[in-house]
Amino acid sequence: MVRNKISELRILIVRLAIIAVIVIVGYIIYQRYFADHSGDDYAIEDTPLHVEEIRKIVELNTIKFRDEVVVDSLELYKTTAEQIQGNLEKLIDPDQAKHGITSSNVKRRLTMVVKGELLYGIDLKRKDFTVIPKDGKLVISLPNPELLSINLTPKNTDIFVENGTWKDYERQLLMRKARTKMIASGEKLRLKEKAKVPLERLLKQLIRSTQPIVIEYY
Amino acid sequence: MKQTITCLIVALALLSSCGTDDTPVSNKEIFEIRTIGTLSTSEYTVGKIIKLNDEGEWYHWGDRKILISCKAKIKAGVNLNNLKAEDIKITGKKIEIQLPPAEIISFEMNPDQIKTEMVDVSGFRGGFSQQEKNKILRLGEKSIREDMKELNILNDAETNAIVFLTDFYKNLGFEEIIIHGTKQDKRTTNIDR
Repeated sequence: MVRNKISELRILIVRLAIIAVIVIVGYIIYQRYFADHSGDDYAIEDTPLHVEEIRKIVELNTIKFRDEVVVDSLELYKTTAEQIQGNLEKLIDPDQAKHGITSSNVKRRLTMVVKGELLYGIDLKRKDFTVIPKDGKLVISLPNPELLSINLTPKNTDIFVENGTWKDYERQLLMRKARTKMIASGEKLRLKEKAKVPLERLLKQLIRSTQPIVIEYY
Repeated sequence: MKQTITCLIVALALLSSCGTDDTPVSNKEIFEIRTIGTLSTSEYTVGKIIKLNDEGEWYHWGDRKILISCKAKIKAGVNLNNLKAEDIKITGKKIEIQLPPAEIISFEMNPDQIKTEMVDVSGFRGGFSQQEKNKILRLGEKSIREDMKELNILNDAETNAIVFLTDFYKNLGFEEIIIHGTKQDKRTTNIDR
């Protein structure tokens, strides 16, 4: 009777131990393959900020252009055999398993959504401007408006899809592509030309002359 | 056994050949054009080393360390659109101006000046993905924006704006030009430009 009870107790302990092992292994597999390790809890160390250059500039910005572009880089498997092998390799890698499980024909894909801000206006430091009273008028000679700043930051960059392993220079190439796309949009919208109207309004507001103001561009 | 393996391979091959996910991304672009009137007068180029030590958990044995160097170009100046009619007083050849507060006009982190200096991965940990690196860079950007408060950029911007406007009004024929700056406590504390 006592021996039976000891035996039952032993079986119970073994079963409980098996359940505990299954739970622990399950948790490890979950953490390794399925849990969200997106880096939201990262904390960087406090390092000093180095001032490398201080420049005196004179830029009059009159148009702010906010753009959002999608840039993408895609590589497909060339053959079915390559696709099978590639997806099997992805399944082994915990970081890529989610892409391997769908067995898609995409070898690598990096899709980014980039928001940027472009400032148009005139640079009065590099180019001179003159104010000459002529025939009862005030003639202001200004340089043509140009693109003065392109503001792209990590905060406004989203990596939407990252399938496969990507190098830093490849991400930089996509960022350059985003930048080029934004500049092209600005050109298409003729923003350099559009920057003239608010510029003229701003100068008239600053000058407040009783004489008529004539603005010329060179 | 052999039959099972063959069946598995065939099933996998079928599954693989069925999967397609090569839809091209949309070319739709969203944009906004705004008229502004800002005078940028000071530009700072700053550098920072972003240091991260990602220690493993009990289920994730091993550490990951990364060092990224980056640069940011910050421009500051004044928003001339904020100049109200009562801020400019003209009496004959004398002009008196109350300048709007200096503020950050633009903040740029050129992707070409972001460099991963060192990565060290130990144990069973994987390397840093681009998504993780972008998150680390965001933290770096936030840290630069915080540190910017300690820089003298707004004072410089205000001084340079006063110099520029003094010359500007001298060219217009004014003999006495008085430009008042804004007290530091009345400046905007918004660093999220």
